[in-house]
Amino acid sequence: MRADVIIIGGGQQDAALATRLLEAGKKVLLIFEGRKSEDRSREEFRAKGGSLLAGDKVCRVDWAEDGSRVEAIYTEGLEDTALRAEAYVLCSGRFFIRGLLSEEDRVWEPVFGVDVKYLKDSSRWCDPDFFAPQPFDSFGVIPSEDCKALKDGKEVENLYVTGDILCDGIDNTEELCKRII
Amino acid sequence: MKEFDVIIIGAGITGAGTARDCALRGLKTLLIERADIADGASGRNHGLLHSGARYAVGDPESACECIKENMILRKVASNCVEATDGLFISLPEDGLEYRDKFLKKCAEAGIHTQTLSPQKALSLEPLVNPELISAVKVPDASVDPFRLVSANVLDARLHGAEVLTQQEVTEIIKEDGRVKGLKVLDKSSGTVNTYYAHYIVNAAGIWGAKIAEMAGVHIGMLPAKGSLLVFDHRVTRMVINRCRKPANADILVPGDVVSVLGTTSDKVPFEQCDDMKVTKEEVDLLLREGCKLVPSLAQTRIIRAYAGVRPLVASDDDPSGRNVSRGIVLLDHLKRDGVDGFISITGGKLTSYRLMAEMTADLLCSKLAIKAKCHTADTPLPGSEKSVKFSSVVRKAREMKMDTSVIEAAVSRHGSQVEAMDFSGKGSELVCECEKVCRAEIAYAVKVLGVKTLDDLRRRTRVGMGPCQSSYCVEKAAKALAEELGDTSLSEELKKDYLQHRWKGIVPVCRAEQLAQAEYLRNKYGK
Amino acid sequence: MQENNLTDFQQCLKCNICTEVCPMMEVNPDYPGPKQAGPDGERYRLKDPAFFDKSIKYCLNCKRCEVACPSGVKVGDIITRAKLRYAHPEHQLRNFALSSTDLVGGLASTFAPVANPVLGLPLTRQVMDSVVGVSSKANMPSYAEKRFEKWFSSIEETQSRYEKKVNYFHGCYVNYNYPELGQDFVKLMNACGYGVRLLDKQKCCGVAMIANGFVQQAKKAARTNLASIEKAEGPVLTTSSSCTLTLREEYEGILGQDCSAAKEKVCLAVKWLYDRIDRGEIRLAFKKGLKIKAVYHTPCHMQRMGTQFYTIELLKLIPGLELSVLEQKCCGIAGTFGFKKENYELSQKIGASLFEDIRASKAQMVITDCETCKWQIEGGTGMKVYNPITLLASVIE
Repeated sequence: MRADVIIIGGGQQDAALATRLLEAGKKVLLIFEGRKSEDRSREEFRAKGGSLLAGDKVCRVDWAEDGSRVEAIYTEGLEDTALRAEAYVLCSGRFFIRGLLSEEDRVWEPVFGVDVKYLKDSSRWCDPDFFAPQPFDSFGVIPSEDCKALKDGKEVENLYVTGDILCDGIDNTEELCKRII
Repeated sequence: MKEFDVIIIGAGITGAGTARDCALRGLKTLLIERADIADGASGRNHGLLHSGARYAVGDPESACECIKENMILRKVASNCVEATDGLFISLPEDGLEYRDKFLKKCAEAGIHTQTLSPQKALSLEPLVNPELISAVKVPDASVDPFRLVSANVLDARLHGAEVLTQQEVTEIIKEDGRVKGLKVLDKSSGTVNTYYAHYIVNAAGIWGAKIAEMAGVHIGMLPAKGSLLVFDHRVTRMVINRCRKPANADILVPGDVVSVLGTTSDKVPFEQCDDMKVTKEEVDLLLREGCKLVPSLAQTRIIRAYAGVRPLVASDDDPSGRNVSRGIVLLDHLKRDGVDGFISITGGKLTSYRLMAEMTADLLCSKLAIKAKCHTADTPLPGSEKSVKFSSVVRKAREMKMDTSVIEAAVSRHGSQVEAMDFSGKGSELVCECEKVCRAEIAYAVKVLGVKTLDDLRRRTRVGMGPCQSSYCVEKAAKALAEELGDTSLSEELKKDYLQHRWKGIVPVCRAEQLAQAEYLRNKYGK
Repeated sequence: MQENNLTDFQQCLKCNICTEVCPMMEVNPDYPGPKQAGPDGERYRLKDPAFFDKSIKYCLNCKRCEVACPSGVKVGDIITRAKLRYAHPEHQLRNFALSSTDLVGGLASTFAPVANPVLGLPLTRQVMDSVVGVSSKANMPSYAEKRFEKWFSSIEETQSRYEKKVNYFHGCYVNYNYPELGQDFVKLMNACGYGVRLLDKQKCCGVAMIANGFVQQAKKAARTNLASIEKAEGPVLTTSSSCTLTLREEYEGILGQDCSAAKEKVCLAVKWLYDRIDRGEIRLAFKKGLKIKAVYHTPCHMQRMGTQFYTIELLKLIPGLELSVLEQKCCGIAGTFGFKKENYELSQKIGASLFEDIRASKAQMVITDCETCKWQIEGGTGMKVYNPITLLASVIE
């Protein structure tokens, strides 16, 4: 299956971005796990003609041999059906939606394994005051200046990162849309 | 001016048990507590009703005490105790030499044991370490310490005792070298009140050292911190112990619908006792050792970590504090220090609280020249008077169109006291879904068990003690509690306080599922 | 650590989104909801089986909760396993009859000329309602006079002229009630240049057995089917969403059988077809001048597998088809659930919103991959409902 843009969603605003790209004339596929309470944005995207894979998750990525680009992705539901796009956008959300995973002293992004900013010492992840900003709030995927993903510091040609998965609360939606549309 | 026969300081299990025993004997009793019941070590322990087997080799006296008290509490506190039994497993590195000594010493202490083959042990507990070379079944049991304290406090009140919480002792009043009474600061109103008694009993746990100083006597205490982990579900049916010389993290206890792994032992300064934090090193150690008992703990969700301080009385120079005799320490300060009117009861363990209370009340009665025998060994605590059959409860639930498991949960927590609960109308509304606590149970806790905050409510009903640590229910629970307390404006403060409380135990284990839960909690209430 | 055990109730963060999407919760206050019946309940059932509450019987196993869960908890599986472990079976005779599609289907289709008119009689239905508990109002399928297997053996020889072959797991609906779908499947495969083979021996996939608690019978059916699948050469295609889910996942997740053979070979016909068209191996030629207005209803089990993608993409290929994909809602039949007397009203209430959407669409027909959805929608709206394979078979050159 070929699309212009495949959005690996789950984060907030994933469907809003998908709809924006769809309305700009792109063929968009949105993949996401889970559902958000009282959120009709994904339904609206589908009603406008977008393709949805609801409750599905990406389980395999085909990389170019030198790791510089994504060749195809595969989901649990569609198994061996290759999903290809000109641009892939990682917008999979934070810990709650499992866009970021953690264990003691380690945080990682499970789909593409892109670079993540976090503190190595897990005893520093929380502030003892519940109502204070928490160090883990600022963990997240590191975007390049061009809104692309980084793997060991090297930019991935056709993989963009956006949404609440980003570190330090970065919002690069406008720059991203400029580059994709 | 009201004068009591006895004022007891500290509503932990020792103080509560003593207050109950005194009240049952007709003594005019006042129980004073600076926070809420079971706020100290009584609310931060393993929830283990020892068979005594753990002490059989190293401390036979304690072992004997434990098994006797274990058998008594199974009867009189049946609603607080779950007769799970326990296993002492030997791993290859433990060898069988200790086990053989263990078996001999248990027999000497009167603790019934049953040696099982590894296959049999694994058939009973499939998740126990498959490398075990032996297992010994013992009559360990699981006890809910909050319920136990609460039942003792309730019974004390039902027999005429007065119980005051949120009262901090500021001064012990002496006249002619004799203790006559005390001054307390009422923490909610800010007023200072004075109470007089013939005798004051210091049952304040590790804080008893400070209380003793106020009376002009010195008790050397070793604050020994112990940290524990709570896993989100019942991993094993029985208590799992290591059959070797007692060390860190070698007991896993099933407690209601969670599993508790512990413990550690580190000397801490007194200043730390009021604000203990579980460290990363402690969590690592607990997990590492715990996985030797049950390997799957490495994949089991940890929902909380907490720490308590053991009130150990210094008797020798053991730096770990572990092999200090956990014997009961009853101090008649007249004999020991020449200070009349003052008694301290400390040391011991949760399992032997009733005996400690008996000894204390016996001493008091002899000093007061009152002939009254102890009946706590054969008088059931409230809730344990009769067993409530699940089937009759199921019938009741169907009449109310309630989920039967919700009433069953109330029965498992309060036993026959469930008959004092009103499940009609709003009563059947479920508030905490993880722990199945309904409005009727909350109303009962406020009316009968003296609840002022959500943390107080938690101790008596388990609200907010599940995997989500009140993510789902805190707002609902705060609103319900405020309504029951008759002041709906309290709701916001009750909620905020409780969230801060719960957070403390989440921070040390904030990774994997619990980090996701923390993010959810913060997004919902923290920003 | 986090990536294992996806059925695990441990991962539940109590967000309650599953409860929001549960179709049973909307209409039945006696059902505590997927979170309480599943992950919450499991913690208590581990302490004491006495904490099992009968109200979890209302779970439809539609798995909308699993699709909605952000934490990857297989809520539906947790509830189904609990039902099988702790529930005391009720209405055994009736439930067994409804679940034993091979037994009942076999008898009924043998006597179809008599069975159909008799089953259609109001009196018969009233008797079934009061004595056995099968709702007199439910839309019952009729039985084919000639079973699909019988029809297939009569044309089997024609299939040998195709070098490339696929296997067909037809399922009991095609076999006893609607062999036309099987015929459409053969026609479509042949048009693509593939011959069709049947499996050595095939039993009902057992989805109804599992739902009604007949574990031993379900396991027996599983063993037979898995053995046949293992022996088969090449892919085993299906036209039923629920059969597919059962063979490929429920056998393992619920019955604990190793279904790696099924996972490897069993495939929805729509997926098989789409993948080959996508790769350029197959090209479909469509009739000219088609003008159809249709809506697509995603069966709950199809959504759970994610495979509605294939049906939708294939339908989009048909020129002249004005297709509207309905918002996913449960039709309420839930396999045998909606046929039971005590459930009929609930079943209709659950489907009401979907029926409304269908009527409002003013479409000529409804496309859906699930046979029980088909019966329910036909009964609830009077519309014509077709399997996508049937539509494709009728519009190709």
